[in-house]
Amino acid sequence: MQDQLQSLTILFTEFYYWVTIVFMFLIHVGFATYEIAVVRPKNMQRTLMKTFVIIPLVTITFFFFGWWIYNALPNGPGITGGLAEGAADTAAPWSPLMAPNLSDRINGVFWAAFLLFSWTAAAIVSGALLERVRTGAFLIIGTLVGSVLWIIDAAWGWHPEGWMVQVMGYHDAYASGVIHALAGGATLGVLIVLGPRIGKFGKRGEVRDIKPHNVWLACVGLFLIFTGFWGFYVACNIPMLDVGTGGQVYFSATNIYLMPTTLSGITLNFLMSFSGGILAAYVVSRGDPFWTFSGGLAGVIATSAGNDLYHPIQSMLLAAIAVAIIFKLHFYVERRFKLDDVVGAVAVHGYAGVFGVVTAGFMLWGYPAAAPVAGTTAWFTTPEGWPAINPVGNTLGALIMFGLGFLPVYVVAKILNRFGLLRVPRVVELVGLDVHDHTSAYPYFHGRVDGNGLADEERALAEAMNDTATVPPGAPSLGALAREDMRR
Amino acid sequence: MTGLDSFTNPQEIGALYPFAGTEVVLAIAGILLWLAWHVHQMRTENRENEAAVELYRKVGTARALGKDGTEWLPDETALTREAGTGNGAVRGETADKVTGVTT
Repeated sequence: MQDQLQSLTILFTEFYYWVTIVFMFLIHVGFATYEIAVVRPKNMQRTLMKTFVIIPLVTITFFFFGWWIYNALPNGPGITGGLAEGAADTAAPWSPLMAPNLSDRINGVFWAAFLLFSWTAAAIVSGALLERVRTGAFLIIGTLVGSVLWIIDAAWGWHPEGWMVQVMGYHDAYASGVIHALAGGATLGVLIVLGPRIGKFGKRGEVRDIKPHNVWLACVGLFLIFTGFWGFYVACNIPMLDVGTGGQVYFSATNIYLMPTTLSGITLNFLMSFSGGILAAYVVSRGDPFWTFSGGLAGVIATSAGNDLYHPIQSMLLAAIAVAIIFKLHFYVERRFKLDDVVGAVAVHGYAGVFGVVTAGFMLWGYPAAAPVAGTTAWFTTPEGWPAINPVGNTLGALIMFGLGFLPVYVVAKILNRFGLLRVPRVVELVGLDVHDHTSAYPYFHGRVDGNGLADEERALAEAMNDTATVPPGAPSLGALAREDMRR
Repeated sequence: MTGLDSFTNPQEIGALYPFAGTEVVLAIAGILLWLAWHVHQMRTENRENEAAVELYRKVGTARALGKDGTEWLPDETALTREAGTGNGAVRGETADKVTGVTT
């Protein structure tokens, strides 16, 4: 670093991202808190381990190949060009810049900021699968989502030179699509294969509300996620960049596409969309605590694609509309398709994320998406010839995001299920994931179970399964046992 | 000597870590360890599930479930022993009874 001003800029940027990483840790404190609160006590410890161990797995794999994917694939490859030049120099695991190095101060913190997004993408999938997915299966799926799938779509649609940005005019400033729609799609892909928890749906197909064992702790978890979301939002910005044109210097914060915005503006929009979501959720859920808190999250997600540019009241209204829609849609899908999404992740992240991307295409129609890359032709352009945000690009983009999560994860879930590796044996699920290998999570506490017939039914089922918890002759795996029990 | 021996002229220093030049070997080792970890975890989980299923077969699923699906098996050895001698607790006498814990 040659002069004091350059040094200050670099060191400020390094510190800025470092702080966002600390904040974003709170997202994962929140995920852990609310997931263990949502499950029944017999499943708490395995749930905590599943939620926690995915963090180091995504970390090391994001080091090994995730960061390289982001740097190498903005052109597809094969859509607007080949592998990006210089990706290996910056982001391969053997690059000297992926280590303490006096010639670079940004790569590590930038990598880590993206890594925390990766943790989030993986963690979103986790909550829907609670109480019956095998830990090993989730760790594979979570790693796939966190270190491969989301970062591919980030290279395509969350990079100033990404082909979706340059050709389609895709705009998704705070990751409604690239994180949330993708993770929601991935979650749906697993859920379809995994099936519901024992007892979630009654004999006549009625939906049972399996309540969190600790409602307020679940809400505290969501509150922590909101807190960490501040780090997420600011990490999506470049804090200080010269965006002046015609030789004039003009320093500003920018979004991920290097288009100007302000931290002040996104603060307004974050808080107003958060509020719109909560107020709408309170009304449509009739004050259900879990859904009221989740509504705040869904409200932010449903406006994140355009929260760099919206008016705060636009954010508030869009968030409220989205939350009303996704709440109804969640319960419709649950009833109609018997989809047991424990925490409503497909709705809060998937549907809200798609809503956010699609509405941003309409709301920001004609805004510049990014500076043009030579040799690339956009579907729609601004008068100056820059790729323009538009409804077609963003609607198609939302489908790409959701589909890029759904399809690969559905296939992987089918493969895992084929080998009996996706779901715990039903007898283990029934007795509790913790029961065999852990002591009670609440050794001095015997809580009351509010009856909706579930506990009685579990007991009756367990009585019927006495002496049946054996592997059938010729069965290749415990998955076969699970299917056998299901037929009984 | 594993790396640097001076911080004079920092503008000419790049990598700070020792054994610079071994990055590819380190990356390969790390990736192999990651894959091995998944294999080990899956095998361990398989064994745990098989043991759980076997135990529940011996003691009866209903008894393992305990009351309201929220209890646990504090002493597998005692439960298995009693199940083997035919002295297992009847329905309603849960694991606590077997182990003498009063709740």
